[in-house]
Amino acid sequence: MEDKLTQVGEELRHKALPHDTLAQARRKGLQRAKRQRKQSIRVWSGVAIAAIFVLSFTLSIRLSPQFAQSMAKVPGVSLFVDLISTDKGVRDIISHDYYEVLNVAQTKGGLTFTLQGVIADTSGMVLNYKLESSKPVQNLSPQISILQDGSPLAASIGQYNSGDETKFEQGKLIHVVSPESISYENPNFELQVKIDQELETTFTLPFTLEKPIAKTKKVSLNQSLTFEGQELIVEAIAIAPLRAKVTIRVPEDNTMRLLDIEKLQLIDELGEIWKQGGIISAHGDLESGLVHYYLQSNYFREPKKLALEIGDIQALPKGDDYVEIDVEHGKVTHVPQFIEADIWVENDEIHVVMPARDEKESTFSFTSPVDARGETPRSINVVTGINDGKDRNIYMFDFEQMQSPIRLNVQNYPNYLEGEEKIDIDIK
Amino acid sequence: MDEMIYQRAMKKEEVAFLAAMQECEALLYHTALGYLKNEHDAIEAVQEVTYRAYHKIHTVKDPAYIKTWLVRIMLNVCYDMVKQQKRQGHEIYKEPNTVLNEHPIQIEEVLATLPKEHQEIVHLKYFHSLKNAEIARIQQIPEGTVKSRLHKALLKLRIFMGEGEES
Repeated sequence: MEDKLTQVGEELRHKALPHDTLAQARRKGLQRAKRQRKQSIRVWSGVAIAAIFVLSFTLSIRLSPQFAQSMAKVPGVSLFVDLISTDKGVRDIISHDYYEVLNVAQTKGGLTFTLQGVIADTSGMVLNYKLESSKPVQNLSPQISILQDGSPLAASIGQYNSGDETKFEQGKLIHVVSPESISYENPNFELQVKIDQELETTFTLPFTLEKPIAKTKKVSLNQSLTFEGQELIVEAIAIAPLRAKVTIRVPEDNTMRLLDIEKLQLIDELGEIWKQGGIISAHGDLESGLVHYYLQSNYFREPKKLALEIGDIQALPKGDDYVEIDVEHGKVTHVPQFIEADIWVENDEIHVVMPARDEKESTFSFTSPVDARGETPRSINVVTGINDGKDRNIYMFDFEQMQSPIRLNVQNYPNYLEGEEKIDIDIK
Repeated sequence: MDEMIYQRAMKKEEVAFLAAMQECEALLYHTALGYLKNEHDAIEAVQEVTYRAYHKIHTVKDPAYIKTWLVRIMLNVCYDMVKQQKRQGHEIYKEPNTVLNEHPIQIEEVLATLPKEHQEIVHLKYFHSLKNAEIARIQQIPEGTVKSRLHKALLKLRIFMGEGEES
């Protein structure tokens, strides 16, 4: 039996990976997850959405021969197609020739790493590279760091695969996001790349930025907004070519805890919304009191006026925003009044079941359990799923480590504050 | 993979999240393929796992457990898909005992009928070649429990596969 299983496993692991299709599936899954919305009707299937992206992309090329020309100047341009089709700001960056070609290469141990180019601003960078091999390779995962003046940049670095891989070549985009701003006083950087294969290969590629860095437009706002008596303060907006950063502070004396802001979008003078819903990513969280939200940037449209719309804010009353469970006696001792859920305990598992509001999307979540001593479990598994009209979350962890009562703080719950606010922003 | 990527993925940084999902590409796709038996469904399962994982990734306690956590979600997704297909009348596997004499039954079909905790351990052990100690560390259970779960799972497989009951 063991041999049979090992053989099945062996066969499975040798099945070819359709990288492109899988990358597409992941993007679709992520897009779906990000379209968190209340009760709007979703009529678009994944296929329809993909078709619209492709359409809008081909249209923009057709409408603008100049854009096609700018695209042609970008080496490894295919890597950017996905990004351009979903981010109008990046499209503007390319058509304004803000992308800087680098083409710095190094060859070692049969591998050639080419840093093809970069988009750089104070909010971060997007770099693209190509990795070629003389032997067939698959799934090389280079570890990337970027140094300035000998020290790593204070930024998060992620890689985004855009397909187009062959046995001998792969390419990726490197996204660098810096919550503090990157200084370009010294325009000399060094890209360090480590590849663990049979032998470890390290590439060191120095590069110098020659194009001037676009000046980030910073507007201090300090506007207080109130939703059903709950306050939040929009402190500032900083618009760089790659992204616009909105900084929001939440005062401590609100009576409700803000869980999530689902709508935070920029609208330009022509009434065009910059990405429906708005948020691409965030740094920090509402509970800590300070968040930076990153939105698509309309930098190169040079807007004189913008509107920032805020709404769809999830909140629960403070002190009634958690579930409390006595696991020793298997009793649920507190459930928020707002929450309609069946909660029970069995075999090291806490089950939370609510009526599903949506066929596919779960509409609630909790943070990790915290016990009476303030400890969280060493390991926890969370299983979620929607079946037969029920939205289930199961939290599995070793109850013995924990001292009752255990609290699960609500992270997301579809209880929305009424209202929507708009801030007019003048850009100098 | 850099643990930082997982940490950032847990903060729902989109790029890091996709990078983390890509890192687990082979693990997830092969798990789905082993279960669902065709490429199309396996790809759909990857989409669904990405979707579910993004909503909940912040709840994972430690970046070291993300891989197992994703496999667990994948098994649930596969389980749901099989159930749905059954409801819609596309039966992909029958109750093992009833078809023993009709065609040589596939071991994966039988595996799919076991309780989830047994499926999970068999997947980790045989399909992803993890050692008992590694499984124990990942699942935070004693190595003895890994052994006993494996033993039970194999016993059930033998019975269903018609290899005779153990004394």
